[in-house]
Amino acid sequence: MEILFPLIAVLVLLSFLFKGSFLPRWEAAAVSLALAVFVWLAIPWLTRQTAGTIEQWTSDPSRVLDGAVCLVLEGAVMILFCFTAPAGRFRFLRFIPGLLAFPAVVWGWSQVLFSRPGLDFGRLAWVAALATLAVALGGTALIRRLVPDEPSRLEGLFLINLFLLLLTIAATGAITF
Amino acid sequence: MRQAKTSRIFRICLIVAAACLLAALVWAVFLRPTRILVVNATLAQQADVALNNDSRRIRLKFADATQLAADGKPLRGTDAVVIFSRGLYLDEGQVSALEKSGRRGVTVFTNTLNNQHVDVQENLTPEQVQTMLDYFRNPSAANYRNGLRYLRRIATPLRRGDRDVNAPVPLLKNMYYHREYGRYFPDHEAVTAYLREKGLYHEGGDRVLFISGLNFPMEGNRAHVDTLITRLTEAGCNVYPLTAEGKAREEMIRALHPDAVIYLPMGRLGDDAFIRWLHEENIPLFNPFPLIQPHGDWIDPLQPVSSGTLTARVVVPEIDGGVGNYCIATQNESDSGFFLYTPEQERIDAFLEYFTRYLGLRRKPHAEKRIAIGYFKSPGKDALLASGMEVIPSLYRFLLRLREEGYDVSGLPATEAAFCRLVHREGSVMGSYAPGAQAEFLRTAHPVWLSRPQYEAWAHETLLPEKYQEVVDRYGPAPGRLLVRGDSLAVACLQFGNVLLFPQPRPALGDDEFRLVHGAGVAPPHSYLAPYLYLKKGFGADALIHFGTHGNLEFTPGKNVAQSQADWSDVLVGNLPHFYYYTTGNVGEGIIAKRRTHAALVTYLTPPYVESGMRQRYSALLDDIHRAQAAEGGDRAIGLRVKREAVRLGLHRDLGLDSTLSIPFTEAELEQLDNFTEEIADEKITGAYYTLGQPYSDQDLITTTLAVAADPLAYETARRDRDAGRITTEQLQDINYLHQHYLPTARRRITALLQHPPKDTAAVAPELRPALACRDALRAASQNELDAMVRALNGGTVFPAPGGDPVLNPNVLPTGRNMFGINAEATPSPLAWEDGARLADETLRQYKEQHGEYPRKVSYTFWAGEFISTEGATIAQAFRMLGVEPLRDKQGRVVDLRVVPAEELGRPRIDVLVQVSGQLRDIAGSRLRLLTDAVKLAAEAPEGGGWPNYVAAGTQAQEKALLDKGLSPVRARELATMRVFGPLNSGYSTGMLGFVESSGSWDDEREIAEGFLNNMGAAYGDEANWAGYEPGLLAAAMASTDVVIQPRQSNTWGPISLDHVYEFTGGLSLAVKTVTGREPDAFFADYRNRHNRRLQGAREAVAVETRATVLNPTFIRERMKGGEGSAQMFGELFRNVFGWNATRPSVLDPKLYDELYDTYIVDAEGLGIHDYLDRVNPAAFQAMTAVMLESARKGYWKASAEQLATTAALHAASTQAHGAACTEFVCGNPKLEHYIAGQLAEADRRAYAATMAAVRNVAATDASEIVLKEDRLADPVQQQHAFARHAGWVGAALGLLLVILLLVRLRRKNRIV
Repeated sequence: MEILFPLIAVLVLLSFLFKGSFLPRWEAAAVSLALAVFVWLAIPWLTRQTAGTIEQWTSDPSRVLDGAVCLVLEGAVMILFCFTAPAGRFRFLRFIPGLLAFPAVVWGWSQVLFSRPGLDFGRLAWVAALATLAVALGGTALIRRLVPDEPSRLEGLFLINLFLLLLTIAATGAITF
Repeated sequence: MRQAKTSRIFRICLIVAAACLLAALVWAVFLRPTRILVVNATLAQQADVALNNDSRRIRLKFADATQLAADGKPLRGTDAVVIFSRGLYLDEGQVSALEKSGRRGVTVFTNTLNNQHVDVQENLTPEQVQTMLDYFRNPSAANYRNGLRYLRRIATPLRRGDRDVNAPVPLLKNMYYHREYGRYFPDHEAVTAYLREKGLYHEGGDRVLFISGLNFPMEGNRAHVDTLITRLTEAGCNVYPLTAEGKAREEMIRALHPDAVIYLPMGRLGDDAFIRWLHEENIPLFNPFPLIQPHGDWIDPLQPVSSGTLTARVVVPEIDGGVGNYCIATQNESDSGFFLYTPEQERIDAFLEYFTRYLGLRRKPHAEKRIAIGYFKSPGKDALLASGMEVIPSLYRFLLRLREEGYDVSGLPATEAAFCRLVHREGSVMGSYAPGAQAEFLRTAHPVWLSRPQYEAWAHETLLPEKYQEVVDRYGPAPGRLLVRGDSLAVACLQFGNVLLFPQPRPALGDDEFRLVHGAGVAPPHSYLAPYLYLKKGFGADALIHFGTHGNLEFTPGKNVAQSQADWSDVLVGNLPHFYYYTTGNVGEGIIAKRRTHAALVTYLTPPYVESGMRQRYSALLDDIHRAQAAEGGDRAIGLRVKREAVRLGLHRDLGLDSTLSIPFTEAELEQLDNFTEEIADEKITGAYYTLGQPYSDQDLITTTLAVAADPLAYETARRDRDAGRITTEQLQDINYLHQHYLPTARRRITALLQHPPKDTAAVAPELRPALACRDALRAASQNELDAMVRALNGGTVFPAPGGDPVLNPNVLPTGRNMFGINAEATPSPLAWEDGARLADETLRQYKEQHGEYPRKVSYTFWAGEFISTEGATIAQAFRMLGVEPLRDKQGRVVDLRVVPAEELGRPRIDVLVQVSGQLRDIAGSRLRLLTDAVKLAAEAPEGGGWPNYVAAGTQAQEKALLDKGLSPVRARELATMRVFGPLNSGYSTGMLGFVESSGSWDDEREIAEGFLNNMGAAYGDEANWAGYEPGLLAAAMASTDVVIQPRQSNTWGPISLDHVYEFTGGLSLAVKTVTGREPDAFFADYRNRHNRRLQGAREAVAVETRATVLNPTFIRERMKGGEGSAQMFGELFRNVFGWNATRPSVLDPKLYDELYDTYIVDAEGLGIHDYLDRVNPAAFQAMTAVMLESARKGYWKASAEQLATTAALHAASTQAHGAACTEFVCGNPKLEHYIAGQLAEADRRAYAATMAAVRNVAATDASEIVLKEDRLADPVQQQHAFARHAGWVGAALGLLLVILLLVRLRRKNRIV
């Protein structure tokens, strides 16, 4: 899990960015802002947690299984979106952002917090929130720019989530067995 | 129509708005209550002010100075401010905020005294200020009420209601009062008349002057005062409560001439002259005090008394020679929400019992007085112990003196020798590990037997149920396991008439001897409680004496001062008048003994200073060195001769110089050798232990006077020559120059004066008079010590005096006085700051010279004795390293710190780590908090001038280490600035001595280091983290330590003669080496010469002491003049050498063991040491030989087979002749026994095995109590790997993304194509 978790977190973030590129721009901005606010609120809470607590959460089998269910659900939604979007079916799926990015990003910042002493906690919260906002907005825009046609982005989103599902199964197996 | 309706509605709204506005205006201008902010009032003053305010139109808000922020936030919305300036320090920002408020129209009044720092008055005319002062300086119910109303009238003149104000009612400035409000008396006759009128006067009762406060009587919040007056009256005293100041007070006291004074206020009772009068008139001074802490905090043993209270209520009264420092009240929140004094009834009872017993000593005939005397002794056959004192002869002389005074000492043996035998037989101390010895003792001795019901009944009468339960939980139900027969418990003691002698038993059962002496964090066993219960309940003692430095009662767990029944030290002394013979040389621990056991100390002399004989021994070498230095271009022949002699004496090894005999030393090396040899030649050494009541011999008087007075005379003469231009300032500051050119003359002049003193002292040159005074004081001391104790036992006073080494502070003479400490709040004093800063700079210079760079972190050991003697120079060193400076208020207290900018500092900001003794923590807690503030300031200071900030780097590294340990970022941040550490559980022990000496229980020195990291790991940084223990924190704080420094302020001990030095500095050094993998440099900050504070390498300091003492035949001969106590010291020296080997072997000369072998085992100098030890203390000799053999077993001594065989044979012979002494090395180490047996010839082996088998059958050693926890720093390499692994996976994921994008793009292109 120690190895898989960072990879899953990165893929979740990528999935979020790819999915963000299908959202209406106002919604993408709102979700990015919500993510940034979430980070801003989460960091003071994070400063009171120990690395052991975080590690415990990521290695506790029941929590990992809960997480795996969430990952599978979100992955299923994303894959469903990839298949149905070209045909214009289930249009509501287009408006669903990648929600697992919220805990994934916070986990990422927790790693910065635990490995970099001397940071001003208040400042870190602001910087992290702004950086998250910039990455979320910028990343979505960048993907739109690099992969302008929707089918290609859908393929990308599909592959990422497929890979995520495989990793999730592997992680679940590692925990269960 | 519709428009008109709208217009009407609009108008109505407008009118309503205008009405509201008007109403608000009227409210704000005429009706709103006046809001008064009261700043810096004590909780008691707050209660007085608030409870006497009867106006609902005055709203009071209280703030302390720290809330008075520079942004003026608390001042917003207030109409007036009242500042109580006592003890207040405001920085510029706070003053400016007040002034700004003043400009906004807020009235600011400061209730100031003339000598106080803060005096801000805003929007008040001088007349109004005076009126306000009249109200607030005469604190009574009416004046507080009217003062607030008057202020309301000035600050908010338009406000309606409660405008009636009465004029201030002046109270008599100096007056007597009593319980009845409004009855004040100009003199004591009026009080007497009042007492008679009220039927409160007791004919023949003690006249007790009671001073309860400077501004008393405060009408209202004085329940504790009234209770004490009532209880004293009920006890038959005639109480004269007084409120007065200055000379008038002194005159009123002189006029009353009371039988005793009870003094509650902060500050001194009077100046030195008045205090002298008080003691000359033999009027005892008692200092109970109310505590500004709630009851819950007070009874919490880990909650220290605040520094302000400690200084004002304990430290200062000690300077006046006060006794009976009981906490009689706490301050608790009342139903009204304010804090009121609550009398602690049990404590008032305790104080009253102490007080009446003390005064009762005056009335009781000597022949009927019952005195209990406790002495200290290690288990086994070793001597009775007291620092620098021969206990047996001292005790004997003291008992003889009591007999002379009329005390019943019947049955006292006719000779000292018989007395000694009796004490060893009847008053022994048993270890729980020796059941055979116990059985032997119970069979041959005549202890007092306590039946279980009797013991339990006394225990229940004396102890709190929960405290007794602690004992039962740990040791089982009474009578326990030690000194027990059937259902009864034995109390080892001797009774001579009305005098009871008893050894202090071990305060906890186990084998960590040092931890036991200096405070085990557990309840004492039944065998410890029994003698203390017996002496009160069974023997019926009228007074208690502890005989010699030091026992263990004061180190049992509990609070630093203001003990409650929950403190063992308090409850076991049990309100008896308690007196303690204590060496003047150990003021640090003496103060703890005094405060924690309600003791009056009676100091005794250190052993006499004697000629070391080293100057004669090295005179030829020194002459040659000086000739070689003087010769132009160096004289090769003399140079070679110097080298030959230095190599022969082994001096080159101490200095790390080469031994090539064909090449002379360089000029620099010669200077090094010269300094070193001069130091050994001038080293002050002490002779045989001192015997109470036995004056120094004439020769000892001369040599001790020389030790005290010669250096100052030499310096003074040189200073005059410098002023006259005969020598330069550099020469004046060169200690060797002074020693060569001025000291010999000074010594000659003083010696001549002392050998032929003139009849008329007026004829003596002024600069020689201090020497004469010193001689007289030394001569008077021994008589004074006995007189003082006798006077104390008569309910008299013990004169107050400072403490410390007489060489450093001759004012401690004559001894026989009650030692006091210093005001920690004023430290570091200006002079100490200069000394400390100079030493810190010298540390950096020397380190840079040796290593080419600055150290990153310097670790200090702080002890109470050094802190007191140097007035905080030790702390000043740490401040200097950090690059901060102390800021003082007008009263000289260090209240704040200034960060020296990096450019001004001109060097890196050096990080520090401080380990403190429990004693220092108890007397100077505020300084430790200040030190932590300094670390925080330094860590936040910006870099500049190209100099790095090692404090910031160290703080970050510590935070990172703690994060890696698994702490939350917030917690890691909090603890990242913790640099002050000390013993766990507010105890006093590192646990190192017991652990090191239990050398059979460890195989690797790293185990000792881990024990040290655990036992010294409590942080003493700030309020939130006081005494907190976080695993791994100390190890994290230790990282990057380059230097360790130990202060040294007394000539009576050195690194080899005092075990605490290797315990603290050796232990710290070993721990640093274990944590960092590198042994730090070690230095001594040497404060022994007032004119030459300096830094000395640890190896050099050890070499000087070993050459001047341990290996010096003159020293050994001097010590051999002493009895069993002096002999015991030889064993201690050997144990300390072993301790250094275990903790920091690099400070020792590798040849030292061989030299010890030659001097003591072979007796190459023919000193007769074997006969001496055989005669006076065979246990010491067994300890010495056992240490040598254990050193060989551990590989510290590379001994030849012959050396081993000789040592083992002597050891075995002694155990056979005298029985095994059963000290730690002798009986507590089966591996050593096996090793010794292996060195013996077959016949000796069998005999030795039989002796030890008999002992071992009864001396099974318990496991050591030292807690060793896994406490290693996280492996940084492992951390790096983890980080690299994460980074690798993130990279891989990004790579994967790139691949996906490329694939998608490729497919898209293909589709397009």
